[in-house]
Amino acid sequence: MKKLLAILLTLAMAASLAACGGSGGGDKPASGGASSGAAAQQGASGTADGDARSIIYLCMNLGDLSFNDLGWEGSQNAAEKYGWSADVIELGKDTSTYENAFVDALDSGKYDLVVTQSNYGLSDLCIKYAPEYPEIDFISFDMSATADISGIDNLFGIAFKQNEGSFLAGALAGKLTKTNKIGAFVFNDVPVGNDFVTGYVAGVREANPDAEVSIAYGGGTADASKLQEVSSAMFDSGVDVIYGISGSAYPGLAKEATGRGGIDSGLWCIGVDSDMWTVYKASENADYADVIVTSMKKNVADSIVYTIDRMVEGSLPFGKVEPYGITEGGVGLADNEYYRSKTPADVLEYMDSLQKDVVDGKVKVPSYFDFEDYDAFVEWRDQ
Amino acid sequence: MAEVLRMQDITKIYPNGFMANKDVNLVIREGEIHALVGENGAGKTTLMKILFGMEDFQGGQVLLDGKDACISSPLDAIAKGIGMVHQHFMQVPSLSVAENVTLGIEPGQGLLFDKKKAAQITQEISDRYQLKVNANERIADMGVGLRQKVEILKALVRKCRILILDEPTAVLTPQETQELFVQLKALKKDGIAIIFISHKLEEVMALCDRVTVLRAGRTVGTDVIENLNPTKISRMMVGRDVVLEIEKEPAAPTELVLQVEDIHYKNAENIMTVNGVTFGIRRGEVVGIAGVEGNGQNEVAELISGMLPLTQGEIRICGKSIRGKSVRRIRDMGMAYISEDRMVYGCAANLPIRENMMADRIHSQKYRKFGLFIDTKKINQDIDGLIETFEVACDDRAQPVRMLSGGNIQKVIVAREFSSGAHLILANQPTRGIDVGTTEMIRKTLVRKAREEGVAVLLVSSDLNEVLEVSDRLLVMKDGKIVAHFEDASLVSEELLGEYMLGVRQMTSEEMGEMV
Amino acid sequence: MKETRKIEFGFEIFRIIVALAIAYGITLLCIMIISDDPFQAVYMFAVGPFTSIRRLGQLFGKFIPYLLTGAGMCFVYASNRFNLIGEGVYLMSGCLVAYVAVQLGGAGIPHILFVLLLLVVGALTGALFGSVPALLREKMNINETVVSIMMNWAMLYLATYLVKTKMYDNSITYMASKPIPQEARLTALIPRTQLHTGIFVGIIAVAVTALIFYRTALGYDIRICGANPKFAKASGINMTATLILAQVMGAALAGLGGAVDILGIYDRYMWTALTNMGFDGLIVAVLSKKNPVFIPLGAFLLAYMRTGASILNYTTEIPIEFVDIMQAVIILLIAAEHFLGGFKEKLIFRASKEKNKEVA
Repeated sequence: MKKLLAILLTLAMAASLAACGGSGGGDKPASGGASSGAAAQQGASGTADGDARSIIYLCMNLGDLSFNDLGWEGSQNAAEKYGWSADVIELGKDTSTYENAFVDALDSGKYDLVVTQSNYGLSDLCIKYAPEYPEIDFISFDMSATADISGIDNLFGIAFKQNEGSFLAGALAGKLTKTNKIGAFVFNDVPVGNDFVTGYVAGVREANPDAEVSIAYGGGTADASKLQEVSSAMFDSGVDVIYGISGSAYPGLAKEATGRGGIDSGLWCIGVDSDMWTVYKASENADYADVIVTSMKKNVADSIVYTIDRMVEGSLPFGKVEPYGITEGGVGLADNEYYRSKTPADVLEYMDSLQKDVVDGKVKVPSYFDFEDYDAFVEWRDQ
Repeated sequence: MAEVLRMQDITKIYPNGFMANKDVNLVIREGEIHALVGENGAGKTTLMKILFGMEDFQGGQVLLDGKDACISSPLDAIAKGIGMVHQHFMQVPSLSVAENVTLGIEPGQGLLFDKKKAAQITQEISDRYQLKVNANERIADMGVGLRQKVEILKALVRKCRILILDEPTAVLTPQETQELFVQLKALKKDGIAIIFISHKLEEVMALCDRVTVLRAGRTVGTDVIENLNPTKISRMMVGRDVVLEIEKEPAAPTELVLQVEDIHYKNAENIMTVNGVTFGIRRGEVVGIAGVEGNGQNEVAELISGMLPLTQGEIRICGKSIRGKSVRRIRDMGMAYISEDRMVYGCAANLPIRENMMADRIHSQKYRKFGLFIDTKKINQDIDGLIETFEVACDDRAQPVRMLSGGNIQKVIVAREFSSGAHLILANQPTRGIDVGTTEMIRKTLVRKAREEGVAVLLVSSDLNEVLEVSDRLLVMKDGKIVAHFEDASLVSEELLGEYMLGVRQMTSEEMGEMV
Repeated sequence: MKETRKIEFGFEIFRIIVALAIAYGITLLCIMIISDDPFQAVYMFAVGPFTSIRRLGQLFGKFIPYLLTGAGMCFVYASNRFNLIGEGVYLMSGCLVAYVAVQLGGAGIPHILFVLLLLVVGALTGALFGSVPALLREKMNINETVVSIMMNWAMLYLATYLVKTKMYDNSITYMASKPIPQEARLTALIPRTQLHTGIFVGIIAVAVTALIFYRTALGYDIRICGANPKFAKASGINMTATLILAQVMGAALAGLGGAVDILGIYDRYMWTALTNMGFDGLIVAVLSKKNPVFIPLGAFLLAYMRTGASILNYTTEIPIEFVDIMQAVIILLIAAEHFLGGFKEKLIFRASKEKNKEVA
């Protein structure tokens, strides 16, 4: 078998040499599993002290302008900060190959810090393999706060309190609306998406019990035209504040609101994940920015850096999933000049005190993960 | 006369390994009518397809006017002055003659079609050769004879110098045939070379100047007509004197096996293709149905076999109605069916001989083993027996049927149908397009089945020689009705039969008598 | 004539080798252009699946379901129906199996019994959903391709709905079922690899398929119906029943595939998009030329390519989209009936000519 493969390989190489007119060439690659995943070596030439670590970031696919990309950004930023190296593995859509790729990376011996999302069983893989690889540390973000990983002392889970941030967004929407009709669009009907919804609906009810919230769900793809369609229908039905919980589809909402006159016409939008007003201002779609009064930031990249900071300090409590809320800087409303200038003074005052109450624990924000099951959530949402 | 075409040492092998032409030579001169004769499967059509650019070939060359001509496609062939009239017309029925004729070479400017000009061109050529075609008539409204003229017109309008006619008289009445011959002779006078493919030796004798005979894909010879006669040609064709006569004892029919009572059938186009047919067949006799193809004979066979649903009238096999029964049930009642189109209804070309021979009996208890499984040993034994009995030329039982020659495929089919133990055998065009040896075997077996095993045989055939030789009684169908019934087929002449088939004569019901 | 068959057979093998060579050539050329380390990339693609036990295990992780979906699609393909329901039932069956496993987990059912029960659930799910397009096609003449494609999406959303509402797990943030209980999972034959006991299910399924094809009357019926339906009708074969049965059995095998896959290599049910395993099954059936005996070969070839591609993806910087393109090229070349057809004809021509010379 080995011989046959060797012949095949030699043939393939010969063919390539012929095809490329003799470019390249080189030795036969050594056999064995370890390979040089050489993507984006960052700052490896920096400090060469004994503590230099090597991060491997695993995700589904880069290029989503959202979660996958933000995780990679955080890993790179941390690596740069400490002069470590960072590699990425895109696992692709076939979930059946994840476990092998994951273990392959662990076995390669090149990495001692794994950063993953929790999606598609990646958090399960961390839970499963962390005990077998005590020399490697694992950070899995966007886990559920209810997951129990106690006893695994080389795994730390980050749970984002998107419900907390969304609660503030909902309260703001409740105060801003004139029609008492408020909308939200969620990228997909998945648990984490519904955690946004839970906080948002609770926030509206807190600030304006008379307001009515309509929720539209997307199909999980970055479909800006769908969001535009949905927001058009919502505006037509009298909705005047929309929370677009889909970073990649957001231009659809911003475009529709801009076309209808934006904030000057009494139509408000709330952004998600990053400070969208600032991001859009700096982009080619600068005119879209003015409809975004503020954004519910989910600071994935910063949270990863913050977590690694704590790890370096030695204060990171491994074996625990920690919720990152407003206090930890995990989530929060974008407090920029535009927000300050457009929001009525009394609303600003209300928002500031509400945020303080949330931080102090005086106001308890419900979470999707607290519900018994999906039906219980739906019942609560639609009541 | 100058030589216009020379096909030299042409060799054609189909992807299944079948050698259709082997070193074939054909020389055509200007202004001659050259007959290309041979049995079905002798390679005539293949040779003409090569000439017309429809098939490539592996050896030899084609010379036009002495120069090597590489004909790559029919379009190329037309451009080089070759025209072909196929057995099946290539026409758009909803368009007029002129539109059909000028299709692809439409006169006019840019995208505009000059209808008048087209009609004018068409009419001019039609008149010149007295083809008697009205350029403005719709194809759909025309008869077969005229539609054939349109095909010839198509070739002439494209200025062809060599005209290929593939069995042009097969669809024509004798009168139409005579007319066609006159017109072909007019074309010949104009210097057009005509290649005339036919089985009908009298026609060849009457029309052609020279004859080339093919046998089994090879050229047997070319000669001028003066040196030939039908016997000579047929000898060249088959390599021996064909025993066309089937010797048989007089029939001694006993009880009724098949009763067909006043059946009707309306096809998808809502045409009544079978219109009140009644007859019966008894054990031990062969009943033939003759007729020009498309007069309802095929439908009658398909109704009896259960392939078409019986909606009006009654068909009984051994006294039991087949109405509403599946083909399976009818076969279980003792029917065997050799269908008209063997590649479509008779076999599965990609499957081995074994599967093809077992298709109708694989569920039989005889081949069961352990309840669920089939007894492969017994199956193989039986299949090998059939292959031997029917002398199927093949490697073994596992060979896909598509690799066999036409005659051997038909042998596989008749081996199956003749061995099913049926009381009633429907043989629908059983020897169409196959070699003489197999034809003879099939005809003899049909008679033997009736005489020795007491099977009732229904033979549907458009081969006059076949129906006359094999049948005991003979029916003639025209326009979905039975127009003649002969108690003794051996007393009927081909000429008389032809007149009934073409509707020149018709029997009254008294003349026909009881048709059982 | 015997020569012809030999040439046809030898040619098939030759054709596959040439197809692979060309595809690898194209691949190599592209890798040369986009990769810094093309040799490493090619090595990973071609030899990667054999470089460690676990990677070999990953190959088997694909090979096992391919055996089942391949056998299933073989039924459908041999009966000449373009029924793609295998794709949807694979996922649906995975979902229901996971549901039943989660519900009955901890009830103390012995491992073997539990697994057998779940496999039955998978096969029944396949048969049940698979019967819809089959019945509609054979009884009402509604195009099976359209129905099955529509149903695939319907099943995807139904499964997603079930996961969301019936298998809610608040300890995860993504859409997936609760963990499948340990006693329901197929055990790994080699620890920490995806080579699990499901391989026996796959081998049995292929053997049964081959038996049905060549040793039962039904198999004869299916092949005859598929090869020439008009002939099947004229021979008195009950086409409606045969074709419904073939398609339902095909779907049942695909369902079994989904069950084996979920129980074999997944911790939870988490398919929120079509898995492509049904379509891959069709490719396996095409590669094995409708002959169940060749399914293991076709399944292995496809599993090898998919695994090589996956390893290439996660060990080098070659983008995953590119890997997909390469696979498509290879499969296309192998499946293309007329690829190199002219060459075959030449071979047959020469053999035929020589034979005729001998005769003469």
